[in-house]
Parts: sequence; structure tokens; C-alpha cells
Amino acid sequence: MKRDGVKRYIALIIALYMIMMLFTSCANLSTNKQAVNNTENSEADDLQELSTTDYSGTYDGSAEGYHDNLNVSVELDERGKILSIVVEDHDETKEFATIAIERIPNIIVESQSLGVDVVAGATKTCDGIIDAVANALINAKLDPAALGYVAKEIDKWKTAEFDESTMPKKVPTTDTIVITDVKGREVSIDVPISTYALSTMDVIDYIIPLIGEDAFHKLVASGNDGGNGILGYDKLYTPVVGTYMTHFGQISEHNAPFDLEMILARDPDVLIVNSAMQAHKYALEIEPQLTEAGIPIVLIDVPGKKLETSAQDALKLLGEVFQVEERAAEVSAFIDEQYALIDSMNLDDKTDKATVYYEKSGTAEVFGSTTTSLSGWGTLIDYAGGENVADPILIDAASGKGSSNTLDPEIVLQVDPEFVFMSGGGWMDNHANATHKEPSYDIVNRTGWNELKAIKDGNLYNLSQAMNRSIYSFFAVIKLASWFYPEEFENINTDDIIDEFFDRFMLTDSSICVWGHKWDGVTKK
Amino acid sequence: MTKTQQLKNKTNRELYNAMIRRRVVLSATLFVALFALVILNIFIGSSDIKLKEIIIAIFLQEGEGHTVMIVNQIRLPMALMSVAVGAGLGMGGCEIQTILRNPIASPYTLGITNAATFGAAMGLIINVNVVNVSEPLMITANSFFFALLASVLVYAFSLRAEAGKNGIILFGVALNFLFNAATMILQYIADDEDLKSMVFWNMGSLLKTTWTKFLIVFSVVLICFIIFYLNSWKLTAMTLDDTKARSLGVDTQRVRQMVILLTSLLTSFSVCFIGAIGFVGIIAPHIARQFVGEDQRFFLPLSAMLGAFVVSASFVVSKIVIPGVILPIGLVTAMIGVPVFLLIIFRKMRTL
Repeated sequence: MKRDGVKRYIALIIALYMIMMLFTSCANLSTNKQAVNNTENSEADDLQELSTTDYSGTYDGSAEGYHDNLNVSVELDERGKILSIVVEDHDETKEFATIAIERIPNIIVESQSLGVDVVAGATKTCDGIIDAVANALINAKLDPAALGYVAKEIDKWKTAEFDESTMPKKVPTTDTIVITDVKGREVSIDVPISTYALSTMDVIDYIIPLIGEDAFHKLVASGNDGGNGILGYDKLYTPVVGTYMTHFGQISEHNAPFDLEMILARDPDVLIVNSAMQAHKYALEIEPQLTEAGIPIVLIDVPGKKLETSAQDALKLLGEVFQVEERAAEVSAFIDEQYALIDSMNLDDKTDKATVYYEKSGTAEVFGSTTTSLSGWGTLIDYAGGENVADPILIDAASGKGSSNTLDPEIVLQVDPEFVFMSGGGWMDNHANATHKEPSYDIVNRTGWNELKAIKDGNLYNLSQAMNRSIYSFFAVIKLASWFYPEEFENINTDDIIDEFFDRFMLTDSSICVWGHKWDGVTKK
Repeated sequence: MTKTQQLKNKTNRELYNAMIRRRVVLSATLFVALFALVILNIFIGSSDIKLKEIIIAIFLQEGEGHTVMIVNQIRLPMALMSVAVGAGLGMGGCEIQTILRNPIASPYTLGITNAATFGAAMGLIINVNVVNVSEPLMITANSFFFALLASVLVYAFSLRAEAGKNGIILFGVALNFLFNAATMILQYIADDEDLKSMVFWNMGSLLKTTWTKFLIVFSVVLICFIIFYLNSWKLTAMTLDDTKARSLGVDTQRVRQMVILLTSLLTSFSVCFIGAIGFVGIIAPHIARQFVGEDQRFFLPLSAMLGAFVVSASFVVSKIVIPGVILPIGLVTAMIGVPVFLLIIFRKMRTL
């Protein structure tokens, strides 16, 4: 008996839910119809004015539905008015799609608008019909936008599927080189390299400057990075270099052990492993199996112990692996120059150094952690001549290099820093998959923070978390320094530096590198 | 003997036989299902290898590229490891619940997992190599060392005359808190990446499995199973209270010590190689109890099989949720385990 009761209860909930769904969808349809009806006449007039050609006839259009392509034939009169819409045979799921297929064409004809709302539960079918009609109008040389058609901005990016036949051809090796990697391991590699794999996707930024498009064409596997870089790079670079995802396999999630099986299946000539995300440890765990399969591991370290040389060290190693040592030296020389520029200003010797407070993804309610000059963004702030207010308290503490140090906000108020930096929170990244949403800067709503010098002067910035360990981190240092000491940069256009770097070494322009945002001074509650 | 008595005896015998037969059939069915899961685990993986190629790779050791290695050195040991670890945890949970007569006891109640976690954290965060092994083995060795340390502590405590079942549970809780706090101190000074590795380690992963690791876990599981099974009569008696069990001639203190020692070992081995796999140790015995009751001759093997079944099934799920990515096994076991567990609790509440 009791079980029956439960069943009845569940059935009731489902029934209620479905009734609600029906109501909402009907409500959507009717309100929209009204709205569109009001504009009907004026739009028809517009069309009349514009059209001098005769549009009459039946036009076919197609677009993607839920299962397969949806085909429609649209009958137009001479002025381009839609007389009828017929949805041809389709594979859409019956119970969901029928209502859409019956009603949507009628509404479009009645309202002469493509701005109709969709039937709940059959969104894709509805959108498919609307898209198909728009397609038919385009075939009739009419502009569907005039009927309120808005192309869906849904992410239609489809990662290409793996296709064995597109795997890079292995060039016969001619030589064996022995290189010493960052951990002092002697690794022997058969060269030339035809295919390679990466521990984390963002490391490819260090390889693009060396071998250009081949960085993608030779890449057969990689682990993901924190910003879902595999998808991000795919979206950004597939249009630039052509399809490469057909010979790509993901070998780890962010900060996870490697999928040994996938590495073996893609069989790269070398696996390049960065220190980030414990990848060194994970790689060495599977070294015996990889050795047996003849896949050498090369360990690199970016960002390494020393900010001003770690990128160059990595480039040198990678230059040896890919046998492009000269090119590597060229890129390194450029980066050396930039640090030399900063060094030449002797920012460390300044007597009135800019005081800086850094916090990772904080808001008024949530006090994020800070770092000392020894780690993360702290290193860059230090190099740019900033005086980190956390240093006197934390730098000698056991947690000085840690990441969970939350500074007592009293200290910040007392020291009254000239600059406040925040980073992270996932809002900004220096690759194409980033959202680039404006940060909230809720941090200014903390008690007393309005009185801080940094806030009064508007010197509050939000920085991309990934930038401090990218190949462009030299540019972040330059930018920070130029904010701290604008007088030193009077005759230097800092943006030219990053433009030149992208121009000479990267495959895109510098617009992909969005990494810093300044508070506009407006307090939002 | 009167005729009615004879008749009654006969029906009792028949009833008993029918019951036993039902349990044997149940166990056999589960065994077949488990076997099917193992096969499924060997067939599913991140690279597309065809059924034929897999069979050829297993039996003839032949194949293109690295197929043989993938099948024989990665998929096979991982599939078997999920069975061994699941069986170990199921068995451990079954015996711990039996000797402590506590339905929420599990191999983790004794504090061993948290100790292992602390060991791993020492390796991951401050690079301390407790037993001085090579770097790749450091984390496993550390966690094993601390798991063993916790086991010794619990065992030593259980040797004390006044240590009853509640005392042991409380001691385990204390150990849990101690190692938990110690781990948190390490996490406080850890940087971001170490912290994430720590989280990941806690979720458990079968990816690190090798044949050697499997054979170690398997032999421990096998030995413990044999010892438990030989003692199944005593263990069944332990479900009564201590006084009654003692009156049946069972040395409750000794049995309890033995179970604690063996379960600690089982847990230590599975946790240090795979990481913490939650919930299996609790739910497997509960489900088994629903099927066969407390008779250890069936309860023990069925708990082991159900544990293996849950972990294997979770492993299948962990491979197919996101194609090409293997989710941490610990995530999946809990997500599958909790609803099942709740279902059992509700059913039980109704019968009470």
C-alpha cells in the first residue's frame, strides 16, 4: 500500500511538472505572437519600400534540427511576404517535435516574423525551423534580419573527431641526441621529432615561437590546463593553422595523473612535461612503462625558480628537442632584452617604492589569500619594483611560499598601499576561450577600503591568474612597472613590445593576450 | 521420535537446504556479473581498440603499435585491481561491522585512511621522504608508512584489556581527527598546485596500477580472505553480544584483535596504491546482509564480491562519463554508493 502511495506521489509531481511546462510554452507563444503582430504592418511596409525585385516563388532552406537537418520550403509573394511554410520529412522525435512543427510555421506566417519564441521541450527543433526559414529567405536574396531573425550565438564549435589517418607521418630518425633536462636527467631522443605530447596544453605557447604552425601539426596529445585550454586553443588556432584535433588525444585532466593508455595509443616521439600541477611527479611514476614503449620524457620548468630566466631556460631545452636552437636563442634574446630594460631602471633601488597589496579572488565578504614576493604574482610585483605589504609579515614564516595566507585586513588599512591587485576568479584568461567578463571589484565594499590610497586613486587592478606563468609574463612585469613608475616609461610605448613579440614569434596578434583590467572607479553594491 | 517431530525435522532440513541453495545461486550469479564487469573494463578505454585486437593481444601477445602493452599492462591490471581493492574494502567493512557491532563502522573508522592521507600530504607538500625510497614511490611509501603506523596504534590499543568495542571506535575517531588536523596544517602552508594534487590524491585513482601493485594487493586480500573464512564460525558468533559469544567458546578479545590487524592491512594496501575510495566499505556489507544475513560463510564472500562489484561498476562509469577522461574512482563510488545506501536505509526503516 505504502509503495503505491509513493508511486502516486511521484506521478503527481511529474504530471504537475508537465502541466507547468505546457503552460509556460503556451504563454511564451501567445505573448510573442502579440508583440510581433504589432510590428507586422510596419515591417511589411518596410519590405515593400525596399523591394523592387519580384520575390514570388517557393524557396527551399535547411538547418540543423535536433536529430538531423530540417528542410523547409517557403512560399513568398512578389513583395517577399511569407505565404506558407512547409516542413518536409524529418527525423525529429515525435512527441516533442510535433507541436513545434505544427505551430511554429503558422506563427511565422501570421506574424511575418522570425523573432518567435520557442516551444519548451523542443527548443532545437524550433530553432531549426526558424534557421531553415531564414536560410530559405537568404536563398530568395532577402535579409532574414529584417524579420527579426537573430542568428543564434550558441557555441557551435565542434571539436574535430579523432581520425587515425590524419596522424602525422613519422619521419625516419637520423640521429640520437642526448639532452640534460631541468632535473638533470640525461634523456636520449631520436631526432628529428615527428610527433610530441605535452603535459599541459598552455605549454604550447613556448613551442609556437620555435616551430610555428608545426607546434600544432606535430602535437598528438596533451593534458588539459586550468582554463580548459585544450578547447580554448582548439577554437583559437584551428582557424589559423587548420584542423589538428583529428590527431589529438587528451592525456590528463587538469592536475591529474596521466592516462598512460592514451599516451601509448598516440605514441609521441617525446613527452614534454612541465613542473606545473605536479606533472613531474605523475610523469616519473609512469616512466618505466614509457621507457619500455620507447617514449622519452623531457622535464621543463616554467615558471621556474627565477622569473627572469625560466622562460629562456625552457626555450633552450625545447630548442634542442626540436633542433631549432638558433630560433630558441632568438626568442630568448628578445625576452632577455625586456628584463634588461627593467633592470636598467634600477627599480629596486628606489627610495619611495610603490606599496602593493595582492589578493587572490577576493570579494567584500570573502577574504582571499595573498602571496609574498616569493610566489605567483608576488614574484612579478617584486621584479617590477613593487613593495609587497605582505612581505614583512609573511616572508620568513613557514607559510611564506604557501598559497593560503590570508592577511589581517587591519594591516592593509594600516599600511595603506598605493596599489591593490586581485587575480583569478576565472573571469579572465590569456587565451581565446576566456570570457573576458568585467570583474566585479566588490572588494572596495569592505569596511574602510574606500579610504585606501589605492582605491581613492583608482589603482585597483584585476589580473589573469594564468598570465604570471605564461611566456608573456615579461610583459606583465613591464606593465606593472609602468603603472608603478610612469615617469620611467615616458618614452616607451609598452604595447609596442607585446605587439612586436606576437608579430615576430606568435601565430596571432597580441589581442588574444587579455590579462589585466583596471577598476573604473565606480563602486557597485 | 514421534512422527510429527520427524516431519518437522524434515521440513526444517528442507527449508535450510532451500535457503542455502538460494544463497549459493545468488553468489554464483553475482560472480558471473562481476566477471562480466571485468571483461567490460578491459574492453572500455580511452583509445579505440577493437574487440578482436584485444583478444589477440591477451591470448597471443600480438598487436599493432602499443596495443599489446595497453591491453596487458594497463587495462588488465586496472580491471583486476578494481576487483581486488573492492573485495578488500568490502571484506574489511564486513568484519569491522561484525566485531564492533556497529552499522556505520567501515575500514576507515579506524583512522587508517586519514593517516595515509597525511603521509601522502607529507610527500606532496613538504617533500618528506619518510622511508627513503625513490621519488616516484615516495608518496605511496609515505602513505603506507603512516597507514601502518595507525594500524599498529589501533592494534596496540586493542590489546589493552579494557578496550571494548566502543573504546576502539573512539580511538579510531581520535586518530581520524589527529591525522586530519595534521594534514590541514600541511595544507595551510601548501601552494595552490600542491593543494590540488592533495585533493586529487584523496579522490582515489586506479591509473597508477601496475601488475606488481595488483599482485601485492591481491595476495593480501587472498590471505585475509582465507583467514577470515577459516574463522567464519567465530565471527558469526561475534554478532551476538560478547558474553554470549564467550559462552560459545569464542575468545572475543582475540578475534577482535585479529580482525583489526587484518583489516588495517587490507585498508593500508588499498589506500596507499589507489587513494581513498569512499563508501564501499560501508555499503557492501549492508547490501550483503540484506541478501544473506549474518552467516559469515556467505556474508563474507558476498561482501567481498559486492565491494568488488561496486568498484568495478564505478570504474566502468568513470571511464564513460567523459569520453577520453578517466574520472577519479572515489568520486564515482560515492555518487553511486550513496543512493543505494539511502535506499537500503529507507527499506530497513519500513521493516523496523
